[in-house]
Amino acid sequence: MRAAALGFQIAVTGLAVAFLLIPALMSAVTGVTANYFRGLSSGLTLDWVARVWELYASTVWRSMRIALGALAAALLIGVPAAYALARAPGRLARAIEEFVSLPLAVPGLALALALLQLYGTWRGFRISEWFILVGHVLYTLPFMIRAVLAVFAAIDLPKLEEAAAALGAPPWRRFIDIAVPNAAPGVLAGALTVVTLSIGEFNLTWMLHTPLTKTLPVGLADSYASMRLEVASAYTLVFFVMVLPLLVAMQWAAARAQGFVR
Amino acid sequence: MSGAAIALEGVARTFPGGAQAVRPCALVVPQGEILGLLGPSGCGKTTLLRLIAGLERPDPGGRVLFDGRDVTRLPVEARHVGMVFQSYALFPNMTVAGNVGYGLRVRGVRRAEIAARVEEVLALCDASALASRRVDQLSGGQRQRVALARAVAVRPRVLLLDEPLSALDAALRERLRDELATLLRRFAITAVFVTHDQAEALAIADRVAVMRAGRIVQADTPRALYAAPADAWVARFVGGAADLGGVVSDGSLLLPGGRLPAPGPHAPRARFLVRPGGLDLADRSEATLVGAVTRATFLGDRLRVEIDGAAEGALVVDAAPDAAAAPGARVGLRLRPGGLIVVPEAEEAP
Repeated sequence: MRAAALGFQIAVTGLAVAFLLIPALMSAVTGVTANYFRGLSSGLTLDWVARVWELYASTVWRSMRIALGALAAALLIGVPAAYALARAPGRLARAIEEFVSLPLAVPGLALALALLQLYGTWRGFRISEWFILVGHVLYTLPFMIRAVLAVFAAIDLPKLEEAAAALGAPPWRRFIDIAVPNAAPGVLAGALTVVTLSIGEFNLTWMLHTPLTKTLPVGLADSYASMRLEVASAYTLVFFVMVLPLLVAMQWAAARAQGFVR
Repeated sequence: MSGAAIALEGVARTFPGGAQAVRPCALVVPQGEILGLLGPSGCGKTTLLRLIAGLERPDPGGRVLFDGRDVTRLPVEARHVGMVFQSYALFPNMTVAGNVGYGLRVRGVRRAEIAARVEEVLALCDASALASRRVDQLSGGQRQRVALARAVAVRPRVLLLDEPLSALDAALRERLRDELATLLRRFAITAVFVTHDQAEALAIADRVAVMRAGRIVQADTPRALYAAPADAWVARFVGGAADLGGVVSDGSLLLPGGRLPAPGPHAPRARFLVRPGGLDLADRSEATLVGAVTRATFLGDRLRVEIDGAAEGALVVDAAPDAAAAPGARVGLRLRPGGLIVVPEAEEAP
């Protein structure tokens, strides 16, 4: 009876895993297959990957630049903002905390539309990479603020600050010596989330991009629509290679921050 | 003796909502004294401590003085106080030694000197073995000692402790209470600690200030506080005295169940109270006061007997553990020497 139940569990889990993984594996394999219509018997090749690089290298570099830009903004704006919110007592600060998360609930398309309405006529900005970066910052900043706030709340920051102040530490030293080191697990988890989200972001970027400011996911959509299946699949493979290590690191950092919070 | 004398002049604290946590009060703590701030929760004792520390600002007009110098406008980091928080607030990103040395590091003391001082202070607090531990590897009692070591490492002028024992479990608390009393005397520094536990206050402090509803109602040595409470509320709060009621006539206090000797002279509106240890069960033939037992609770070293009908309210008497006092029985009561507490009738603020 128990063996049967176990067997059933394994079967269901296996099916679910297969359902999720097989399309991804198929796609990855297609990316290195010489001719998709003749199957694997046509041989393996890296030509398609090279072709992707030739056509779309600029989108890879752009995505990386924008992800790093979003990360820099999240660190420079998000960490101090979380610090200020954690220290501020009162209802206004709690209301702002909720408000900060609002972009998460609004579809990326709506956010992009708002940006276009506001800045669309500002041509130099509209066609530059900065325009996309602004969208990504709006979208990713709440994740950093949330991650850091959670750690600050768990360590009772105001009490630690009072303790440091009683020992003679002026405000800037409390920030450097107490707030930042104790927030580190939250900052790390937030940073990985920001980079991963930025690299994979499509909705908002698709609305904001111009032919000269394509990011990797926008390029993917472009290749799916207009290239051979092998090229599109090879492109997906490139995306996997970039984003998988980030996802693994994110899981690890989130687990670490969780352990810290507990 | 070292440390500064503390003086509070007209210090009050009104919170933004309008609640006055501390009413205008005056308090002097002489150099080297260990003062306990005792009161029920919400009486303003922690706020008063935070006003001394500089973590709160008094309402305009109030002054805080250390050794006669006005420090009212100085923020906490400039007051040079040592503070032990209720939750200890140890820095989780530093080792024990890092925590204890932090105050010196902030002051720019040289590394070798910090290490020497940290070692010295940890030894003083019997915590040398903990130096390289992480904060989350410490037990409650160890945390308390590290918090204390961190507070005294900078040689503060005043040591302030907010409920230093309340985060510990009951068994540990009693042991560490005596340990804390010893340590505070070893530091020989002016110290103020907050507690809601009268046994803690009486055991540790040189002098206890009893607070109620934002006011200091009495500041006295533990013995004086116990023997001569300022009013009926203090008598009830410290030592659990019960009101007898009754009227005085010819050097006796006449009560529903008889009378007790109460040699005068008394103020015209004096009130009489008695603690559980102030009365003794006695043979009814010798007793002048009689009541009925409503409950008897065996507590190991004594029998706690509740008695009705003797005084105007219920009385609690601590009798010998083998005393015969079954519920329903009528027992005689005798006053122990010094058992009667006489306080002036005062208006009792709500």
